[in-house]
Amino acid sequence: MKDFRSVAALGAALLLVTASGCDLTVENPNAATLDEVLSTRVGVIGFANGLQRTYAVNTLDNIVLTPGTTAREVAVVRTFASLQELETGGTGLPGDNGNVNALFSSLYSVAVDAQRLIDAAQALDGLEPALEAGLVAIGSFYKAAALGALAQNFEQVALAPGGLSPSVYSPRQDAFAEAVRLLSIAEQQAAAAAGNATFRDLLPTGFDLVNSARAYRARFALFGGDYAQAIAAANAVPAGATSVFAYAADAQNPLFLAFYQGTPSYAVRDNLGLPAIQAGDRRVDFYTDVDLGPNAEDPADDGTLRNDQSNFPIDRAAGFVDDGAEAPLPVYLPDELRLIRAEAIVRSGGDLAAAVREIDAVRTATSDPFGVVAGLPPYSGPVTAAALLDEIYYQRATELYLQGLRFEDQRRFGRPGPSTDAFQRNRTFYPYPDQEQQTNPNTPANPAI
Amino acid sequence: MRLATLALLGVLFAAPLAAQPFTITGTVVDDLGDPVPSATVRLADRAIGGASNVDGTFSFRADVAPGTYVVRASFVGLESADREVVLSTPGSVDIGTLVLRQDALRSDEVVVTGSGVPTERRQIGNAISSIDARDLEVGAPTSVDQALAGKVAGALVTQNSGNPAGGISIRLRGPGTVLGSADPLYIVDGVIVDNSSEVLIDLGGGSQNRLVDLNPEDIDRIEIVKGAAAAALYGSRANNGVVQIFTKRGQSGAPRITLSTSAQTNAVRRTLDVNLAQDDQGRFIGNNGAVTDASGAPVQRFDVQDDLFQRAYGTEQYLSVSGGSTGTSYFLSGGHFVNEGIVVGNLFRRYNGRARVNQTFGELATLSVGGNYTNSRSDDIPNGGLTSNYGALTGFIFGPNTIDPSPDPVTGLYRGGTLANPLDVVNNYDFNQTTNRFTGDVQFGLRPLANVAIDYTLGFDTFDQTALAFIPVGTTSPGNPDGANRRAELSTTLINHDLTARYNRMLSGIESTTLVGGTVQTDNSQTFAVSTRDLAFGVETIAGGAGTPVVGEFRSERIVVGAFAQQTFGIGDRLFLTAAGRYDASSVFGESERWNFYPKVSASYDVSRERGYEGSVLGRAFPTLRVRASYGETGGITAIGPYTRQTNAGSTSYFGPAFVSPGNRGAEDIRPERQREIEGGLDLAMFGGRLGLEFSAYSQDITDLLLFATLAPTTGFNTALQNVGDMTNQGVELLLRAQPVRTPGIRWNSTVTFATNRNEVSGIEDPDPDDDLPGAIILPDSFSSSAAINGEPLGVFYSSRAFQRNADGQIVGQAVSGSGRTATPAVDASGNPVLVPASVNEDGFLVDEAGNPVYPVRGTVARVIGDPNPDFTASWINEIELSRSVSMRFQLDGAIGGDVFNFTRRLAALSAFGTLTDYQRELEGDLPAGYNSRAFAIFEAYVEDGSYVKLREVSVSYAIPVAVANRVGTDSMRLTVFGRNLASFDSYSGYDPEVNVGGQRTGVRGFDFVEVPLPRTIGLTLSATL
Repeated sequence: MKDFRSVAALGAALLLVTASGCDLTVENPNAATLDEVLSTRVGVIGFANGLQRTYAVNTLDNIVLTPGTTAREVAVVRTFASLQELETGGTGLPGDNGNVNALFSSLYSVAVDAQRLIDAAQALDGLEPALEAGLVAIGSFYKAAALGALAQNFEQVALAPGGLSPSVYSPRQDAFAEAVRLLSIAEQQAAAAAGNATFRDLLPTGFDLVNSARAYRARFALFGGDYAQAIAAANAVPAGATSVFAYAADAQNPLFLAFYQGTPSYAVRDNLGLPAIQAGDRRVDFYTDVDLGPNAEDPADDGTLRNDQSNFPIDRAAGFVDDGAEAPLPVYLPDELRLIRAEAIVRSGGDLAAAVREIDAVRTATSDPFGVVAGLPPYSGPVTAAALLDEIYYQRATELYLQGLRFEDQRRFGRPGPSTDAFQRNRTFYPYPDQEQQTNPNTPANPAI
Repeated sequence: MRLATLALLGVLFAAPLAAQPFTITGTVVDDLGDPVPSATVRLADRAIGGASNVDGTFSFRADVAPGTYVVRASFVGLESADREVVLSTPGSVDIGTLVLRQDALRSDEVVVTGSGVPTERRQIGNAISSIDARDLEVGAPTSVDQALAGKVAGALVTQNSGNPAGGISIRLRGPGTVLGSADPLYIVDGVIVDNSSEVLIDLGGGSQNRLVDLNPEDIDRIEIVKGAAAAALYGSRANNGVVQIFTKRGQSGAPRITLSTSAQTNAVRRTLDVNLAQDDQGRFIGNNGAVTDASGAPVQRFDVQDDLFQRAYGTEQYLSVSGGSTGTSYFLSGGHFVNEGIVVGNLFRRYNGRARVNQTFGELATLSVGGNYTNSRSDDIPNGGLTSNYGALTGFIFGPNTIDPSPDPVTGLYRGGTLANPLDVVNNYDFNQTTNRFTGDVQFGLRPLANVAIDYTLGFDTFDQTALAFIPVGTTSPGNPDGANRRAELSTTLINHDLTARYNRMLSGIESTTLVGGTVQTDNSQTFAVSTRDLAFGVETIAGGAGTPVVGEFRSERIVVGAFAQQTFGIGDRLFLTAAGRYDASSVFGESERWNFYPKVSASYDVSRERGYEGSVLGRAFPTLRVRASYGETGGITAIGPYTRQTNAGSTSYFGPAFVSPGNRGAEDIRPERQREIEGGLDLAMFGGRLGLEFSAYSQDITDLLLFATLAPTTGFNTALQNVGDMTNQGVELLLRAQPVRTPGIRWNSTVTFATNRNEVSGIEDPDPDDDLPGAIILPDSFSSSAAINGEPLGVFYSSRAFQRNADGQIVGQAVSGSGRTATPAVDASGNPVLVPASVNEDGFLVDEAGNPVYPVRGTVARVIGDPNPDFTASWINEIELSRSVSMRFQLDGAIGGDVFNFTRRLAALSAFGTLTDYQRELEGDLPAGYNSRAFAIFEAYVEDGSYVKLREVSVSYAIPVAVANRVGTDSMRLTVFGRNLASFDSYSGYDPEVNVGGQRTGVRGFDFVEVPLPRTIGLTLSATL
């Protein structure tokens, strides 16, 4: 038994050596955890940077191209099932469509990250108040942008996503109102942060947070029916003030990539996807290149490129999307503010002559900070609310091409649709993705179409 | 730990020695009186002994204190024999002749895997497979896992690629995980070795597995335990079983030199029939149906396989020297292996050197130090199209084969087809991988008392692998017109410390063995890779790329610690009871779930050792009868990476450092996957030990499977890692060893194995319980066709690209209106398709009840369309010794009932590519126009029966007469002609039903997308001992 005891003692010693000799906590040298990022100054600043990147690089293309396909601004030119389903639209758009899922998921991802940024900035000790304000401003702006974009595409929106319990949905009007509220905060907080050098460095070259917040507030107030606020916010943006999403070699312009990288998935529609263009409208040539010309090898080619499935005439994309992968994209176009004012005036029963003045400013301008010039004579049609709304819709469709607005505009202006017509939207709203339907019991019922 | 060992060593060396030199001699023969060479003869329970010579004689020196000892002679497949000897006066002692009787059950074979201490097989409560060197050397295998094919019941060995270093998967009793690697844990001489299958450069789907660095010639024997019941002592690393490899050791005596040289040649066993469609005037028809191309020239058709496959050659040289003096023995070896692949430009080459020195310090201590260095290199040709599409065979299958693959006679440029020109790939691309690897071990054993043994093992395995890829400027590969390159490096180091102590004692007729042990294991791995594009002409290096370099780096570290204890009781030498437990922790898991306990119990009852058994009816029928049962638990830490449990932020840049939220939400409270296995078995010997049968049945339940559960996008995450799944493996294994003919002239040994395994996945979340679809996870890298589905085996083919079925579940097709090139799908008066019952005929086409082709119609609902897991595997190995000098051997093995997804054929069917005869039939009017484009949309149309039986190994060996051998200065010489994969009996329409473009991926099996088939190999080996 003595032997046995010595063996047992040795075994016990082995266990002790084994258990104590090794530190089993291995730090990950490849990545910081999300908690570490959100609880340190460096991390939170980097997270604000990442949020801006996510929106500009990974989300903006979804905002522009997915509803752009549905509203016939663009045509798909690849045979991927998800793209074909999107172009088919109607009831042929299933709940697992990859593009709709990407639009939905990327926007909620932005909204959740934006709230994480706001919460982290407010919770972090030792952050200078101006920087905290600046981080809250960035978070508020992007959360508003995401909620506003969701409300343009879905009937209901989860206003406080990212919580521990399943997200609850609200009507889209509430989402516009929440976006407007957040954009007011963004504007105030950005102003309060203006003196902070770290905050200024966080904003990419050309991105004007204060005026972007005002312009988006005007946009979403208009969509939400708050015309007075829309006009006030639009008026707050100084004439000629611009703001752009910036791109770089390692953060490339997603719209350029969509139209020009490798085998592209999208092409722009001939005549901007509109059934008729007003004579002499120079914006068609600004946004599209002349088509590629007749295909010599195909005698049936009438000189107009068409995409395979829908046979839509297509053109080469120009405007902001053919200047390379590092060219910036406008956050908003200055003339959108004029058209917001014109529409808000008309819809709120205001002075139609004032609305015409705004429209004419768009029609007759000879210069534009981004070069979007209509080159049209002053408006000469009837000065009635209905006629002016038609004109405003046309101006928005041409001036604001590829701004991700036409799906919303077609509904708001009561344009015909949904249908399979080449110039009408093919859906009213998108279905909620299966992934959400199947994992969140609060998901509303899908719209019929 | 090291300090403790040294202290013990110091104490024990001080003990007095009273040894005197004895030399023990004798002869070992079998029951027919033939000498048994290479039998192990040693003092029982001592590390003192030697091996018998070619004539069965042995002689070894023992420095021991005078007394009574037992000399034991043993040899695989024979019962061991003991002889008591009294050693009194120093000098030579002849103990006479020891007779070893037949033992088909190998009951006396001493194994260590799973039990932690050398134990006779009959004492173990679970099945354990062992393979001897002479079973591995046939057919000059490239790697040890290749050599295992068909030799172990319950091991499904799949060579996933016919490349000379093609990757190999082993599944022991089915997969033990879904997310991670399901290959077993490999231990070589106590060293836990890396067998990863890192894809450093994209070769189209497959990759090497690093076991290829081990020279099979160096292996002495292999032990395999297949499930938790046997492997509990290996704790959290053993969910997929354990393969323990022992390399050769020296025997004391004069130097024994073994030299062998072999040459082999490889050729493709079967090529695909390409589309050579002709009209009735003998003119080739183009894919659009015209006999002239756009320029008006006659259409031509080509078969590039003629230029793509080559007759390949290989050679192997091997030299080993072993010997030693009293207390010291050594083994040295060196090998050089080079083998060309059957695809032009493909080559594998391996240099290795191995050394081992054993030193005994009297009876007190033993020290063994071994090391192996390997330099291996493969010249790779990308093939397959699972992950990239610039491969050679990939270019071939995408065709169209109306394009001349040879270079343009004027410009010398290759003409591109749909993808890269295959000859451009094999002649101009440069993909290669070089590995430098060192594996070493130090094993120190102490016997402070006769019944106490303490063993310490330090294992060390480190390698650097450099992979280079180069696609030159001007390539025909779309997407790479300006060239691309990549350099990827992998550095891996594994270190393990194992310390065990055991204590034996007799307690009133009960033999007790107590074992305690501890282990510390660290794995470090780092990858670094750079890719660029737009290369300068003539520059292969990264520096030649004008494009922005894409840099990737990943570092991983994992620590496993564990302690275990095991108690065995041997009652009356017939009932053996074992209970053990391992307490185990891994850094992969969070603190709250880190420590886990894995218990095991087992029993082995040797009925035939009961008193009176021998004379009974039962005893006369079955000289040996043993029953065994065991239960054990193990864990799985390989499912996830070292940091996967954390919610790791993404790091990027946006005019400054930027962090982004990840798509996956981690969880600190996830647990290791756990396997619980119960196993029972029966071992029987019949016909006087000439027929042995081992039967085992097992049931494994793997719970807490780690899977990525889908989250609502409004959570801000896409997935969450959770312990949600379950999986079971159930099956039986049968091993039959027989000697049908046994005379002094002819000995015929025959071995049959048979195994079934039924795997079933459950517990996967069902996103929509209201619909008929089960919870399913579509596995990555399978073109969304392989899945883990509740109620089905892992890796079934699952797709909505299935045939349309009617209400009875019968496949329907659309009737044909018209015929041949003008045929159209039939519609009724209201324009609806006319659907008729249909089935797939033996040529793989959809036909109606009259046997005429009908148009395939795609269904709408996802369903299981195939299962790559075989119903059973079996093998039949025969060794026939015709005389003392001539012997032959052959092995048939097969896997029956598994499906293969023939993606190769599917692609070639589409009119745009039209490379194979499916489309030829349509062009020639044997299939209705548009048939193939309909079929192309239906994956199910290309799921085929992949059952195969292969003539895996054949060899004929001739021992050159000793007189001749002596004349050329050798002791003995042997000439062997061998063949490998000479024939395959299958009905598969592709190259080879065994290969898998999914490589060693766990769930992506049976996926054929122009992976290189296994070559037919014929070779000649000349070996000599000096």
